[in-house]
Amino acid sequence: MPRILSIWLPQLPLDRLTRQGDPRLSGAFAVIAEESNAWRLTHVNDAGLKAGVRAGQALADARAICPDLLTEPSDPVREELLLRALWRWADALSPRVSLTPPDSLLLDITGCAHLFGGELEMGQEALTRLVDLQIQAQIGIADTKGAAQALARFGPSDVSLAAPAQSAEALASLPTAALDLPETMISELARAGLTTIGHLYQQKSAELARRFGLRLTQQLGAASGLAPDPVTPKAADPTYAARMTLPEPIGFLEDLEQVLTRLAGQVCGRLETDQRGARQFQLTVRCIDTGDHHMSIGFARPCSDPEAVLRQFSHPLSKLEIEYGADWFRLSAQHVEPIRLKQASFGEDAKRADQRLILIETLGNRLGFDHIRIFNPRDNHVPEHEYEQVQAAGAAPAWQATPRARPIRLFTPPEFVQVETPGRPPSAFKWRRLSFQTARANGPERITPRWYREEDPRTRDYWTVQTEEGRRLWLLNYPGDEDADWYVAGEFA
Amino acid sequence: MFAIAAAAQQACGVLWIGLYRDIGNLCPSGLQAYLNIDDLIIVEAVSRGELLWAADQALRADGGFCVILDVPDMLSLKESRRLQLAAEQGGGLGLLILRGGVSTSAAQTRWQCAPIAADAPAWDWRCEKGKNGEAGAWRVTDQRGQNATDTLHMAATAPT
Repeated sequence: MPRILSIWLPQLPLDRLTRQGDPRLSGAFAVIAEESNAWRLTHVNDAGLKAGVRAGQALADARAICPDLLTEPSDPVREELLLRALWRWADALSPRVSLTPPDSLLLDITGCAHLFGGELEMGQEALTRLVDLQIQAQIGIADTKGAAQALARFGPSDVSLAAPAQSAEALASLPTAALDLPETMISELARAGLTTIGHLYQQKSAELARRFGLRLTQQLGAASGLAPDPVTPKAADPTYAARMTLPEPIGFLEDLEQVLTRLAGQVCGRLETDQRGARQFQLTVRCIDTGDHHMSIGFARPCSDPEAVLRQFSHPLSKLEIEYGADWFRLSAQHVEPIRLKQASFGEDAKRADQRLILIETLGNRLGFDHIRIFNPRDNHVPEHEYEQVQAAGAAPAWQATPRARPIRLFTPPEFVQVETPGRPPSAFKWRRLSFQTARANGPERITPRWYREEDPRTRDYWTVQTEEGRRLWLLNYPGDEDADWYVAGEFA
Repeated sequence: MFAIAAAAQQACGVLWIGLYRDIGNLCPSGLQAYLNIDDLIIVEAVSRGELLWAADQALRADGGFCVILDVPDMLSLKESRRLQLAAEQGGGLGLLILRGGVSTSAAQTRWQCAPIAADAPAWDWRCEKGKNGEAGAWRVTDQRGQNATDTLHMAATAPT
């Protein structure tokens, strides 16, 4: 028979702020969240409860009851991170831990409890450790997931225990809300006079299923151990990082590179065994006088080559100013992705692609990856929107030839032309303080803008103009305009 | 145009390095007639130092990239000598686009290029300086996209 331990963290958002040492928590305080256009209280601290504020109240009501109430919007991302940290922490209790967001952990403690001296002792040990971490928790231990969760939430004490094969009995006195059911079903059950789980036992399950749906009987069966409901543990994503602490601070560049070589060897070795690569590496150097310095480098493809890591870090390392030396280093791999193994640089094309990516990495790490770009086609007929520039790292070039010939340089916005001899197009004009005579003109190519977008709504006429002076320009005019100004939209080769 | 035609002869990646004001208006739907756009990488530098560093790295890199450098002002003799050495090391082709002013540089060749009025797109390419002793002028006409290949080969073999 499996034994399950459920840890319920009822005040996780408040605990997160307590751990940060938030001074507002000494008074009435609540965490709020927006729910169907209204701010509602989700978690209230003890002082708030004493002042008469309850979780679930609308913020305006709560303010009316307790004008001194201080609030903070909930931060689901940070709360999730804290829960994930606790998930890794729970490894100390049992190797099989599963995460049930937003606020509980499930541990399969089959065969673990005797290491702590018994199940009750184990529960208390977990509770003590959590209190040391300034986290409030309630613990339930039972044969099934459902029963353990119900006991954690509604159990009589902080550590509630149902003896083996006694889960159904232990649940009997708990309210129906202890089963993981939708709220509407719980109120329907209450209307039928069924307020505790014990009441449900007295009914025939076929009757319950007919009236309230299969969900109820399934939950009941799973909680009382009639239907299997195993814990599915998931290992935390491995972190690929290595750190090194030195007895004496170092400051010479060669020494730093030595340290980095060892760290990169470790991190990349582990990445390679798992057939993974990282797109980003971060190096933290802790100087004894100036604190932490963070440096990060990026790669155009997942990388697990220590040589490449060293090569890319050599520039930021040489920029680092160390006066009294550094004694703590940490290298971590971020954006870890699986590597598809390829035959190394076989054939000219693969080699060239490799060289291209290496160059993009080298340039990108110094200039910023957003400054190294390639052109991507766009499905659009307006000349300046026929293409876009995208970051070269991580994008595969996929240019598709556009149907019409365009200038090699396109001026956006178009540049104003001073017309000297009017005409269509003008036979003499001045542009960028140079005079031009039209020798030949070809056009117009009429382009209407996209009416469904908010942009310049004027229709455009483009003329390809060969000037006597030699330059081939792309002149632009907006037909229907009274003053009929001319612009240079681009220049051909 | 000369730079593009020369770059098109190189069967490898093309890097166009410059400041935003010089390379921001490049239009791939126009360049596609001369270059394989998939080979083109745009490198936008924010300062002259970055620009020269990027050009140096790209020229030095294995793989013989073609580097087109749009410089905001003249390069000094020292700077151009560094780039020339980098190009010799990497085996790539380096092209500097100078606008207007000309001064002494360590480049192998210098070309004066201008479009001219003709029935088809045409250019005058004048080699003003060639360390290998060849100088001359060519009139190149784009005949249905087929450039005068003999001229281009000459340009491609002499790294600028």
